[in-house]
Amino acid sequence: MNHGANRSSSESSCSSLKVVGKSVPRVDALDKVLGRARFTADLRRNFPGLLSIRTLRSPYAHARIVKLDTSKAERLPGVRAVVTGKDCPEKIHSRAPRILALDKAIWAGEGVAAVAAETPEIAEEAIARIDVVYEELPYVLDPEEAMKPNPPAVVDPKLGQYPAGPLFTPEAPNISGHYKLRAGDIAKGFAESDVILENRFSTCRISHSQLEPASCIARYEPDGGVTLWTNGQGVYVIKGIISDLFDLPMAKVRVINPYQGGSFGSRLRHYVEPLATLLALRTKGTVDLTFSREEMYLAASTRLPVIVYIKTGAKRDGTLLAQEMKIIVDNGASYAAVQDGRLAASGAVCVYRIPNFFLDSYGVNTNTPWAGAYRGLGTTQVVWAVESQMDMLAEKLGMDPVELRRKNVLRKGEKNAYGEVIQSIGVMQCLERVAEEIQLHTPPIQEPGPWRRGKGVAMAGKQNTPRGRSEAEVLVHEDATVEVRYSADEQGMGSETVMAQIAAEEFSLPIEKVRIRRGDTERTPYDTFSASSFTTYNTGNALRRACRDAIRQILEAASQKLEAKVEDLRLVDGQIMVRGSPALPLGDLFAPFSMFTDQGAGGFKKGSPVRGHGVFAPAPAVPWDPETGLTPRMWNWFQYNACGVEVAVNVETGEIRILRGVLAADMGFPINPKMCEGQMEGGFGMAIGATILEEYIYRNGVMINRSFGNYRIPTFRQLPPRSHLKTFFAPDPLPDGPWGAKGIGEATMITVAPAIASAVYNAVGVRLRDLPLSPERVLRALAQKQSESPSAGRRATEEDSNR
Amino acid sequence: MKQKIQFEVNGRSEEVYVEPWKTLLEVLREDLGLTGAKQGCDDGNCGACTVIVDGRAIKSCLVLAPQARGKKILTIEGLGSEEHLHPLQKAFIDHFAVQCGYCTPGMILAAKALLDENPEATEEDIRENLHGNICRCTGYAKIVEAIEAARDDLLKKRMGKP
Repeated sequence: MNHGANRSSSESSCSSLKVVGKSVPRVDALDKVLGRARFTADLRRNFPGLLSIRTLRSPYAHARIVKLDTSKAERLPGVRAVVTGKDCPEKIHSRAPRILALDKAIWAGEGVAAVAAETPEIAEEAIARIDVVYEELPYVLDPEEAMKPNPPAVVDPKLGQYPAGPLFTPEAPNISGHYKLRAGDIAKGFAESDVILENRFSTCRISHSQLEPASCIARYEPDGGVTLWTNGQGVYVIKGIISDLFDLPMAKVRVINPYQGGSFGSRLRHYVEPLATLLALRTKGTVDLTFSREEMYLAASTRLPVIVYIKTGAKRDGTLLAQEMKIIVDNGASYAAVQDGRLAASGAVCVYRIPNFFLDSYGVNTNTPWAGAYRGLGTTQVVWAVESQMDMLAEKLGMDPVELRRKNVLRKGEKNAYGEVIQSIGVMQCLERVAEEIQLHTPPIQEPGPWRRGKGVAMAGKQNTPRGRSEAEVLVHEDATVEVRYSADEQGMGSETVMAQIAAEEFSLPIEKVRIRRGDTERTPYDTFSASSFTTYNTGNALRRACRDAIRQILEAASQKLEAKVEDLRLVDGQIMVRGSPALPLGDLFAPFSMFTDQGAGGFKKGSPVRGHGVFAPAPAVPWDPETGLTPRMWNWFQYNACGVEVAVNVETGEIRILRGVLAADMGFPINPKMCEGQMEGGFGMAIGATILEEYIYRNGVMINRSFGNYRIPTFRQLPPRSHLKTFFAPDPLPDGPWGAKGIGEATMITVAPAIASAVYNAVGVRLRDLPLSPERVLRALAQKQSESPSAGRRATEEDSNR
Repeated sequence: MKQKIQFEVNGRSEEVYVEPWKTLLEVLREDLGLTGAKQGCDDGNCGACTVIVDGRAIKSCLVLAPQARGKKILTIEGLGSEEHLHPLQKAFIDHFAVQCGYCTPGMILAAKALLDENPEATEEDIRENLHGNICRCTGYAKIVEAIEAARDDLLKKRMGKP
């Protein structure tokens, strides 16, 4: 695939780079194609006597647990422990949902009791022998119902009593938080507007459906501590949670992170580690807790459903003057929820110049499977509304949708509605490239039959949260090989490869001489977790500092030995160079030693590597005024993306096919261009699922389509052929990013739904405001259009004759 | 209760004693230590457990151990080695068809079975035949690209060209 002019200009400015900026093969690919890359469940054989855990789950969306008798289960031979909510720590972590329900279950799927047994079959049999009686309670699934002052159910009775609940509203007991943005004068903005457009948009609950189910092996250690092998994200965060929940000394908790089979935000919450630890401590044994796919739908994290009310005012010439929004974010049955919708709302603020902005966002609890982070963290759902609105506004104004966006897009150096100065924004270049490649202004060629074709585009940005603290360590050996130690995640995005590239570049080494050691709290230094697309930026910056720390030590030692100035020295592939000429092999700096030499003397010794250490943490946010939400720094930077699609809509069946996709991204700088493409294509695929296929379907408050057979995620057949999927880069370098890099993982997802909906409108003349764009919804909208105006269905036909 | 089951796995004759309700996937992973085949779902809808049984790509979570009696089974561990990668393994590396890697062994074996049966499989054939193997990371583009590259490589080799 080819890339835009913007990229070649950025490449030429970094033309001295040898490894970074190049599509070097992934360092983990060989192990993965040979089937020898180890994931958590692959380690089971290493643990003789490993116990299996199974969980009894509530079949009701809201129910009091009237009776819970586990005695029959406990008596079953081979059962080693049975636990209920009474056995769980009282503490609640917002990063780790309650381990098991206490007194009442607040969603269908919540764990009520759990068993550790010698085999999975015995554990299942024991679960069946638990005697439980529920009293069903009224439940609430709809967040707009739930947020009223007297809701049908209060989901988390302790909401408001937890620390750090943002603007909790006591009179509305399911609202976990409220964020307000008040910029300019909203009344004046609308008064001066020539055109005002109001709409409501919604997205449903969906599942991350990462291919590897959540899995944790926990081993009780003779010192009373535990060791965890888990595909949860953030080994140090997990260590902290486990130590805190179980009052274990930090020094006795070790967390190891094998390869992770995808996460997409799911494993940022730790929903298996605490239960596994509880049962390891109970049995003084080693336990395995691996979710079934059904449990991944019922009891793992999900994506926040979001409802958006949006009212936009613009001048006749398209200048945006005012926007009023109400954003309702459905936490599901979250304990200790701290969500206030602020993260989701950011999707409405980071792209357009809107002088008068009035926004309220709310986090709301319902009796549905709980929600957490999901690629884009809420912005995807808000962008669905904002970009659909822009498309409709362009039509209302009779303006070209690209022109409308160009007129209002924020420029570098300008302030957004929060009051932040934009330091890197390539979004318009992304959109222009996409509109050109999809030939937006050339109508699609229609064919006879029920399929109608249409095109659409959208653009958007995703904030990066200024959080996380990353450390990295490098060990430089006398043979000029380098070990990189870090603890960010590798859930498939390629962090190991990016870190190896960075170290190879800094040490001017072939990448084969770099070895990655990752994700073990006993061996690798602190990191938070891989979230908000910040691993390249946070951990990458820390690693560059670690490399430079080691290089500085080496060059200082070399300067003494060579009697040369440090400034004149460079380290290149294991050679100390003096003003460009090789002067000393690195190994010669390491003194051999024996019992006849002074082993304790200073200086480098053979066998003892030079250690470099680096720390990076982004500058913190500046607290915002709670009444206006304004601040010069809420976020760190923004990654941007644009998407163009051509779709075909079947007017008889309501099916949508994605015929072509064009994607463009501003990631600041592509450290590994092929891996960036992979993120873009993967985000596109995932977003197609979220747009046309995926949704939680409930009956009597219970999610019923809880298998891959019934919850359909995209297969090879939903994606357009290779020749019809193109990717482009439009990087705008970030001043403090490694070689200008920001991040890419999340923005790849955010523009796809509005682009598809715009293309559907272009094809058949119906506007859909609720996701997913299922065949039923398309048909219903077509029928409604037909009934409202007998001539309406002709739009496509008329256009046919024009073409 | 346990039954003796003999079969051939990666060219070696194997004999295991297992409960008859164990799946082939469980036997491969737990009894033979071949953990390349993965479990991703409960009902044969993800393809991460795909292995080749008597030349056909099979979801090993849907086969009970006794049904595998006497069969020839190929798992990812038997396909190639670090020194002699199978063209599909090489192409998956070269074309960045691997991200998290959880679907990769099943995907490669499903592709092998297809190319064995239809050495000239087109992109359309690949998409149609592999739609039971799910990948959540890549959007499939680079997987198709890799399989096509391996197909061309294998065709060249078959025609005796370097």
